[in-house]
Amino acid sequence: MSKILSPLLGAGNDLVLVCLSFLPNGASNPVSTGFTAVNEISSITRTGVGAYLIKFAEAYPQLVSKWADISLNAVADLKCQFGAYTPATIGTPPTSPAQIVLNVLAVATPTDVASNANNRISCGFIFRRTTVET
Amino acid sequence: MSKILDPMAAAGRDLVVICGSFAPQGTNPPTVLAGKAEAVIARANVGQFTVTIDPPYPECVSTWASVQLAAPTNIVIEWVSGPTVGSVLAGSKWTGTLVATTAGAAADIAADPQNVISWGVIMRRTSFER
Repeated sequence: MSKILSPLLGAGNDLVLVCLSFLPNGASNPVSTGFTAVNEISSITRTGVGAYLIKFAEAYPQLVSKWADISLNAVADLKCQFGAYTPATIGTPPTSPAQIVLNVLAVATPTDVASNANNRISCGFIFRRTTVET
Repeated sequence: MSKILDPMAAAGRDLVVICGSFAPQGTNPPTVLAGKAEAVIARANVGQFTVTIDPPYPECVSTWASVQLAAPTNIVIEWVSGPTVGSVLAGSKWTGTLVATTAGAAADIAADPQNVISWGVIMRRTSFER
C-alpha cells in the first residue's frame, strides 16, 4: 500500500509533475513565447519534419510516466508519439537534464503542423526527484 | 526544481496519481521500469497488458497512456477494459487492460531500450466527491 501523504502519493512521495505545451510552427522552431511552463524547460526545438526535442530545465533521476496530446484548429488524423529519451546525468557535476523527442505523426509519417493559435501540443511528465522507489 | 507545491489541488484533496512505465518485450512479459510498488503488469495477449493496482481505491477518476518508440511507427496505446472510469469499486483492486494497436489491430512491440509504454490512473481515496 502507498505510504505517501502528499497528493502525488500513488507512485512515490517525491514525484514532480512537469506539464508544458507549445505551438508548432510549421517547418520552423516553435516560438518560445508560445511555451507554457517556461521555468520547467530549457528549450523546445524542431529537429526534423514533425520532430521536436524537449530539453528539461532540471535534472531528475527518473522519468516515471508521460503523455502527450495535440489540439488542432481543424480535425486531422495526427497523433503525438514520444521518441528517444535521454535520461539526466546526475552525480558528478556537471549534471545534465533529460531530454526527449516528440514526434507528430500522420499514420506513421512525421508531419509538420502549421502555425495556428489553436494548434497546440501538450505533454506531461512525472519525474521522481530521488532514485528511491517507494 | 519544480515550482509546484500542491500539484493536484485543483482537482481535489483526496486524489492519488498512480503511474508507471514498462518496456514491452515482444511476446515475453514486459520489464517494469517504474511504478513497481503500486501495480502489477502482465502481458495478457498479443499487444495486451493488464495493469492491476493494489491497494483498492473507491473510485477511478481518469486514466492515460502513451507510447514511446525508437522509430516513428503507426502504433497507439489505449485502455480497452477495466472498471468503468468513475465507478465505485467497492474495495476490489482496479485492473485495466492496455492494448497496443496498429491500424486497429493488436500488435506486440519489440524489445528496445527506447520502446516504453507509460500509463497512469488518478484514483480518489474516498467515494466523496468535492
